[in-house]
Amino acid sequence: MILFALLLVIAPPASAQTIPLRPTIQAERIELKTTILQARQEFKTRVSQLRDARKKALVERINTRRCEVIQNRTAAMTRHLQTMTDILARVEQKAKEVDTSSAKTAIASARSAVDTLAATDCLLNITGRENQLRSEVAQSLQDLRAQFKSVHDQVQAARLATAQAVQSLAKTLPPE
Amino acid sequence: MNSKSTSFLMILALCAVIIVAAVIWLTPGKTGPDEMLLQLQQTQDDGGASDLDQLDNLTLDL
Repeated sequence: MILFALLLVIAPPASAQTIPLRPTIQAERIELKTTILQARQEFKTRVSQLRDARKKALVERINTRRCEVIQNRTAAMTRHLQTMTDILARVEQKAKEVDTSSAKTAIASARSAVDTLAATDCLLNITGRENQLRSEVAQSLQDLRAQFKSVHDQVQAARLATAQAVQSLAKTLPPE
Repeated sequence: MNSKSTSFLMILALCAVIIVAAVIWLTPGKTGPDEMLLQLQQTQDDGGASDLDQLDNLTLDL
């Protein structure tokens, strides 16, 4: 009894561990915003170095579209992961014995990857040299394709794990 | 009489809520595994590959 009381006094509350993290997260966000603003300014400067007006307009168009694509893709994947989370909640509601832990882990991992992709700088990586412009833009898009594939694979893994949980649920339910 | 009719109405309303909940719960395809799998299927896409293909095509004009 005394030992239990001592444990209660010594053990810090769960919320106490999360409080010191907040300033760090805020600082990271401010740092990220500053980095993005700097990158935007740098990108504008590099685009302005291009002499060909047609190429300049095209690079800006590709850049804008690239940012839109990232925004749309991350929004869609976030929506899909939310659907999976909702489905898992329904699975748990219907049959508590169904193990949903691996699906939950897969969703959390995919969500983290999507968040990282959403937070990254969407700007094209160019030096402003006209003769290298095409290869630099192509490389930037190739990198994005690799990033998309990596995140998409994780979302697919989460979908598969959720489907397995649903199939387990189907086995526990009586036939109609 | 008033309190009796109020109680009766409350029981009636409760029954209606239970029946509606039961119908929603038992309606096949609404909340069952088949519907869940269908919903999961709808979350499938090309992962942005077509959007990137369009961007690649634009790059050719640079």
